[in-house]
Amino acid sequence: MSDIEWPVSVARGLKVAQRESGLSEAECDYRVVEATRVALPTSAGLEALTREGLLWRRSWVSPDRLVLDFIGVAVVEVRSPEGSIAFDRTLDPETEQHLLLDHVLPMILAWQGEIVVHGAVLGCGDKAAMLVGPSGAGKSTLTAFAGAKGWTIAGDDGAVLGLESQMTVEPTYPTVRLSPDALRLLDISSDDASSVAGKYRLPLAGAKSDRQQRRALSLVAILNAVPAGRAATFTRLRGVEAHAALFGGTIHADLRQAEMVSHVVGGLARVAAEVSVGRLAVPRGRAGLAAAERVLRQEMGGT
Amino acid sequence: MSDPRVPSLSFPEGVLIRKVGNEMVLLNLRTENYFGLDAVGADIVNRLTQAPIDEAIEELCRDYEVDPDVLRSDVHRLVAELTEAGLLEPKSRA
Repeated sequence: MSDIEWPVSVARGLKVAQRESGLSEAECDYRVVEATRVALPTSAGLEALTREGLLWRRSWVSPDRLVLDFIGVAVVEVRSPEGSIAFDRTLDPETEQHLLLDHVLPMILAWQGEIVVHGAVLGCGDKAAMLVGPSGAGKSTLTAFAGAKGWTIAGDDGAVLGLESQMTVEPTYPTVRLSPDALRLLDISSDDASSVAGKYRLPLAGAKSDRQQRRALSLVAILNAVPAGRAATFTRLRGVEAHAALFGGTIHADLRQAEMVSHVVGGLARVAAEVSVGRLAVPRGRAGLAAAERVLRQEMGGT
Repeated sequence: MSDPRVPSLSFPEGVLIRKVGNEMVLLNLRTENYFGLDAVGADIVNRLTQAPIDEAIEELCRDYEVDPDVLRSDVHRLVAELTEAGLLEPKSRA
C-alpha cells in the first residue's frame, strides 16, 4: 500500500487516509464499513459519460444519502450523518483505494457543498495555479514535470475552491498518479510507486503541511494538448467563456438541486472575474512540457 | 385589453440565471443545458423578458443602430435557440 497522506480536512475518515494519519475512527467524519447490499434508487441518476460516450457512473443524491454506481465495478453508498461508506462487494485494496480517493472523496465534497474542480494544484510560494482538464488531458504529466522544476505538487486530481475574501484552492488529497507512458516520458522509475488502477501513484517530496496548505488561487489553466513542435501558449479567457470552461471541469454531485448549483455557478463566476483564466496549449513531448511550464511560470509571475 | 408592457417571454421554472460581468449564464437544471450569452446577447434576453418582443426589438434597433430586419432575424433566431434548449418560454397570461 502506498504512502497515502491526509486529504483535505472537509471530508475525513476514508480508511486508507485514516490509517496513514493516525487519527482514530472517532475523529473521522466518515469510515468505510463492511460490504453490504446497496439498493439502487429507482429514479434516474445523474449520468457520467466518457469522452467516447460510454456510461461509466451514475449517481443519486438525497440529503442524507449519496449512491454511486461505478458501472460494472461496484456500487458505493455514503450515509450522513452516520458517516459510513459502504461498498456492495469486497474489492481488492488497490481498486478500493482508487475509488475512495479519486472518485468517492470528490463527490462527497461536492455533495457537502464544496466547489470541486477536476484539476491539479501546483503551489508557488503562497500562491497556486490550478490545471483543469478531463482524464487524459495531461494534468498529471505536467504536474509531475513542474514538480521537478521547483513547483510544489499539492495534488493532481481534485481541487477544492475556497470563497473567502481571497479565492483559495487546495487539493482533495495530495497525490500524483502517472500512466506508464508518462513515467517513460519523464524518465521516472516506478520502483517507489504503487500501482493504482493502471497508473502509478508516486511518493511526493517535501513537507506534508506544505502540500496541504490552502493557497491563494492565482491562475487557472485549461489544458489543451497540441502536436509536438507547436508553441506553448496561454490564451486568456474572460466572462462566460472562462465560466463555461470552469463549469465543464467541475464535479457536480447533483445538477438538479437549484441551491447547490447556484452556489457552484456563483463561485465560478467569481473565479472568472477575479482570477486569470486561460487555455494553456501544451505541445506533446518533453520539450512541450518544458515550454508549457515556462509559460505557466511567466503567467504566475504576472499575477 | 392586455397590459402592453407584459413581456412575451420568461425564464421557465428550473432555469438558473447568473450574471458574469455584463454577460449571462443560463442553466436548465432539468436538462443540464448550459448556455453562455455575451454582453449583447445578455442585453437582448434581459429586454425580451421585461417587455413584449416587438417593443424590445424596437428599443434594440434604436440603441444598437443596426438594420432592423437583421436585428429582428437575429433576435428570433436567438429566441428559437433558447426556447428549444428550454431556457426561455412564452410567458403565460393569467
